Amino acid sequence: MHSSLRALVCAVLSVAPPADDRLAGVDQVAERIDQLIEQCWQSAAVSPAAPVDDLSFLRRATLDLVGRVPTYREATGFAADTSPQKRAGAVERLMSSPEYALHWGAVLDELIQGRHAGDREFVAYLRRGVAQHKGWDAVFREIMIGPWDADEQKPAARFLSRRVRDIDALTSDTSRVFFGVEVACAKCHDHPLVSDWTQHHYFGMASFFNRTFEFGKEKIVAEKDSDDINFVDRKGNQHTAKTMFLSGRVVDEPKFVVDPKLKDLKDRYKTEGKYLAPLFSRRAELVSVALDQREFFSRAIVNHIWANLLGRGLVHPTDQMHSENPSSVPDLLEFLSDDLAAHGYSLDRLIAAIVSSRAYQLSSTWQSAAEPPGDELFARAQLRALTPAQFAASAILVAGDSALDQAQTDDERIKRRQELEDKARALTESLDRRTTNFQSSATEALFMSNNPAVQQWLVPGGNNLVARLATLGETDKMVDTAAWTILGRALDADERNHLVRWIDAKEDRPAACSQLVWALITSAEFRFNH
Amino acid sequence: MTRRLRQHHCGSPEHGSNRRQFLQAGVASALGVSLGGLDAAYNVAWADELKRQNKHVLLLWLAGGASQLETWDPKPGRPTGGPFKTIPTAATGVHICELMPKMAKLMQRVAVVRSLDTRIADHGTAAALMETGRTKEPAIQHPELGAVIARELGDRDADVPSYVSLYLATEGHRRPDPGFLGGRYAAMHLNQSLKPANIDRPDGLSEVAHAEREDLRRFLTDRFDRERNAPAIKGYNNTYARVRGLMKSDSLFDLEREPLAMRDRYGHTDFGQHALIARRLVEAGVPMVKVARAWWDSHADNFESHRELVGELDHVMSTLLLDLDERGLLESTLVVTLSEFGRTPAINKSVGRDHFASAWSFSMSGCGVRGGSVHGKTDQDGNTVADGKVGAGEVLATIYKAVGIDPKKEYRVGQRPVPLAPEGSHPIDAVLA
Repeated sequence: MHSSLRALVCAVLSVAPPADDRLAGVDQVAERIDQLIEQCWQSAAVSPAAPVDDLSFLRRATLDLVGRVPTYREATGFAADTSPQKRAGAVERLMSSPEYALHWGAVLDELIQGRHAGDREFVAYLRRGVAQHKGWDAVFREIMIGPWDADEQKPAARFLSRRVRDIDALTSDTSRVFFGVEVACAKCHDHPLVSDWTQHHYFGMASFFNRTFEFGKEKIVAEKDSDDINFVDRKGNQHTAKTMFLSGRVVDEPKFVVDPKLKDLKDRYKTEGKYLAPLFSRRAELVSVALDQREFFSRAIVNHIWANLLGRGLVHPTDQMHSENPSSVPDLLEFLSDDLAAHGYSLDRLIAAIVSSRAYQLSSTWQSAAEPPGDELFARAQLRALTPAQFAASAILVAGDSALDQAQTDDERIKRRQELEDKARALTESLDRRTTNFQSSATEALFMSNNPAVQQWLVPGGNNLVARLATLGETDKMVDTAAWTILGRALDADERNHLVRWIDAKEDRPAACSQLVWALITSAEFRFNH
Repeated sequence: MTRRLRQHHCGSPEHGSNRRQFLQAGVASALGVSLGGLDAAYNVAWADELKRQNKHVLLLWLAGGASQLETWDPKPGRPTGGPFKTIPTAATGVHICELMPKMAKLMQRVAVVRSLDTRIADHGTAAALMETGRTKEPAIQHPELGAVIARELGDRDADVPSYVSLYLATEGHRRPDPGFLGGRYAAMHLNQSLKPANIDRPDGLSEVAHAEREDLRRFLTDRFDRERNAPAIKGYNNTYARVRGLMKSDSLFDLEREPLAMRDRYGHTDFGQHALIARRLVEAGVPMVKVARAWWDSHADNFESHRELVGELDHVMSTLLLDLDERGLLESTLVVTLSEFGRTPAINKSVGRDHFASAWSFSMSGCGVRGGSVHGKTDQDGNTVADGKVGAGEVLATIYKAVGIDPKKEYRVGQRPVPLAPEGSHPIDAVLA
């Protein structure tokens, strides 16, 4: 079968499994994760941190699965729930919420688009995919080769169209995002550190994209019928690049007999009056070979998702997957990527398994006298700064009215959540991005300290938090409610005493309330996922 | 002397870096000794020494591309020369355009480089090139010059900002990017008004209340850190601890506090007043200030626009140098005038000059500079570099070295060592003291 046609048929056949089966077997996957990590702890002779407490778990999972902190009702409800299965129940509830697709669509956008993230139509496309439980292979295929005909599918071309004039970006970003490999270093010379990557790999990967161009006024991402990359190696030898995948697999190109008068697409377009797909698509070949030799593809996404949920990749950094930089937990990456590929590249299954694992559910505190273990052992939860979107949405949520809690239907919940997101968007520019070694900036601290938009949250009005707190007569009730709403937990006795005394010492109680809310929202406990 | 510019530095032995060091770094990383992001560990003693010397960089950014022919590299009498004459300067044998008589008197404090060949003649890409020394790479976001200076010369806990950027024009506006150095070294970027954003205490909140709620924030954060002991939490607290100091730096931007005579001296143009603010900032200890003057992009009527723009530059820059000198600050302050590129020697049909990156100039004055020196030259019409070709990497290396920063110093980004100036770019020693 012709290869691009084959890809097309595959895309059509890749239908979502029924929702009920979607998460069947997740527990076994989580158990296997636990086994492999526990073996790793044993051989490194470390004892892991204590399990995370219920409410910290709820906060962590809510941030990770739906992108915001729990509401007052969710936190107090979870605390009151006596079911032994309540964590699993929370995961299922969160993953069934329409907010799950809203959040993960945005997460995948950041992952895929990097510095070009934020294109609303592309995010909407990804969100539809998450809501439909689309496999990661299908997302990859749609991004690389479409089909882009239907309006709903059109934005899938944005990954390519944002980079179409820059073959280095196409090559490098595709390799980093979808294959966990940074090949840019191999452009000028064979990779200095990694014997895996030579110039032939770089230009081999670039060859999958060198025929990609923007076509016509509509700027369709198109592909030419011919053209090769020539490069000179360090010894001065000239080469015509082979179309070669990272695995070393070379794609053979059939020879087509083309009317010499119609030698390229532009001429054919003129003659035939419409855009024509190439006779042979190198990008379609990339999709085929990447899914056939699937280790790069499946491991890269497992590693990215793991890093998103645990704060660090099994292979670290996530774009440095190569033979000299193995996973820090032996066999785990291989196990999870095999499982993923065997289950339709279901991200839901992968995400559910990870958040159900013991490693995910460890505390971020360290009480032992022993030195804390290295981050690569995942023996203690890592602090992860909230993303600007998470931080802004969460702050506006907790300080505001509790409209989200009152949503009765999915549609209403989506609407409320998107209102929250729209309000948050105005603030994210001033907030610090999540980076590996998070560094807070004076810009954010000044913004949170003095910006009128932030101060506005603290002015009593309508049913917002400060207004609600003001109606509570007793100070201890006031501080308890503030803590449950903002931190999603009860205060311990020391904290309560301190806060009560702090409030009671103030003459202007409503003003003191506002200050309390500000201090809780700007505390590190709120700023980080922990 | 011609050096090849390289796009990518990967610590490869072929790029001249130390492979063993690189491999060791990789191994350390695999063991979890030094993980991801930017490695903060470097030669602390040396850095402290630099900071004690209290050095500054003041960048006058001539946005849009100033003409080298109407400033530092005139070609009088040639077909490309235009109407202006040259004048001799206080530096023997150095002639500059007659539009800069005030600077001519100060050339013993100024070094000129006339041999920039930076190839890229598109505003945005060229501006990024000149400010990072590199062409854009997909996998890594290089910090711009200002963020590097802020990190290298700034005091972590200072009450003043470590990098202020004044860019109120819309033309050529780019938000300064600290790249992988992160938010701590991002510029306080003034692009709406001369007042920094969010520096005023909110209405209705007393100073005491502002301080008290910060104390409460700190109490809660310290409790949270008790069983975690995390650098990220401590850094977060340190950032908030700077807020009140930064709010006080408000007065630095207030020119009402400057004697009228001084404001008159700088001239009542935006550029003049911004330069005066820059001097106030430098005096208060801000290590990096960028002042942008836009828009030099003279595709038409080049000579009319340059008569005005160069005249203003001559006045403001000379006033700034003299004022810094009178205050004893010129010894420790490097003033750089730089654009994203120069302008074509050929004069177009609209009597304009177009974008030109093949043979253009920039200047450096003050700290670390060999006054009166000139590096490189262009051919008689200014079309090509005849001698001493340098690129963006050399510009950065020279700026760093002038203020005592080792251009070869490396940051670690993930496993990759990234030198401050791109690998293979050496400082232009001829213009350094």
